[in-house]
Amino acid sequence: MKNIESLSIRARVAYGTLCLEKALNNHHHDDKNEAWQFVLDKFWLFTNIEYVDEWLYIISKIMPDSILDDDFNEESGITLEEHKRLKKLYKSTPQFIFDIMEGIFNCGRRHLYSAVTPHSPETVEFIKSIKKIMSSNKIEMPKLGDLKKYSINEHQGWGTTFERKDLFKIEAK
Amino acid sequence: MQKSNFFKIVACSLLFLNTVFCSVLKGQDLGTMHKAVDTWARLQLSLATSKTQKREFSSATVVYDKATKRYYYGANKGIALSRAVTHPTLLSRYPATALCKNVIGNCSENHAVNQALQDGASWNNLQMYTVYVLFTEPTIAFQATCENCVFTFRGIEILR
Repeated sequence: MKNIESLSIRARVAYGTLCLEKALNNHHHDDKNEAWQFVLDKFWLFTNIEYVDEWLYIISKIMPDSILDDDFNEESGITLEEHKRLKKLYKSTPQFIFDIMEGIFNCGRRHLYSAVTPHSPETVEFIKSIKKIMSSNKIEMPKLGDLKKYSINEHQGWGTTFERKDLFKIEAK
Repeated sequence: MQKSNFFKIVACSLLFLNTVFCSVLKGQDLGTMHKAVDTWARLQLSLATSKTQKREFSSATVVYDKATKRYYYGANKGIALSRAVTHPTLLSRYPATALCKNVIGNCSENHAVNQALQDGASWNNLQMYTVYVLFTEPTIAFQATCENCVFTFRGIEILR
């Protein structure tokens, strides 16, 4: 986990999201599936959103228990169609995928409205919990690769903004 | 004694008494403030009508007015969600541009202080304590103030 400690909070959330993508692929939930892509796109917003606290209100509305337990709300920022599609998706999703999503959510929200603590051991714990889930489901952890560029020493710990495609430039070509 | 001298002495005495009075205003200790905001935050979680609301509740602040002995509570994005008017004193304290990655005015500190100011509280009599809220655990622990709030709340005693 030494490498994780040097990553910005934005990069840690990205790493968690890469884990989620890998878990979805491994368990035949094609991450290219439109509904999953909708979810993944919301998670990836954290890496380049200007004000990180706005991400909290976007993600809270699409988390599994919010979709499965709450009635549709017109002010939620998602359409009734999207709500129905996510409900259907989550009903057939295994719990460990939800647990990974929870880990990413917690990692992203831990320092909102606050100062990032030095090296943020709190969010390292959330990544550790994701690693444990991946390991118990026999899913290999993704490589850190270009995420290492995004240091916790930049922008008060949040780090420089980036997009998913910045991590896979060669692959995209 | 000349009339003008008399008034000067009275004014100086009042100023002195005011200084003494303000300096002896007693604040609350950390344990009391933590208990107060912990109780309030747990109540808010129990009153939330949806999972989304619970998830969106991320931090809570208690503000104590040392003069009136009143407590005020705030949640993240509380001013916007309650459609409250931001007090001019609070507005005047905001930095011109964001000093960190949070929207100015969205922190729970703003919500709590705004209510105290709307109630007539004096800035320098306020004491503040903020916690992080995680409904799934539920964890309620001290949270360090963000850069916007460090700038905005100069003069207010921040407990940590």
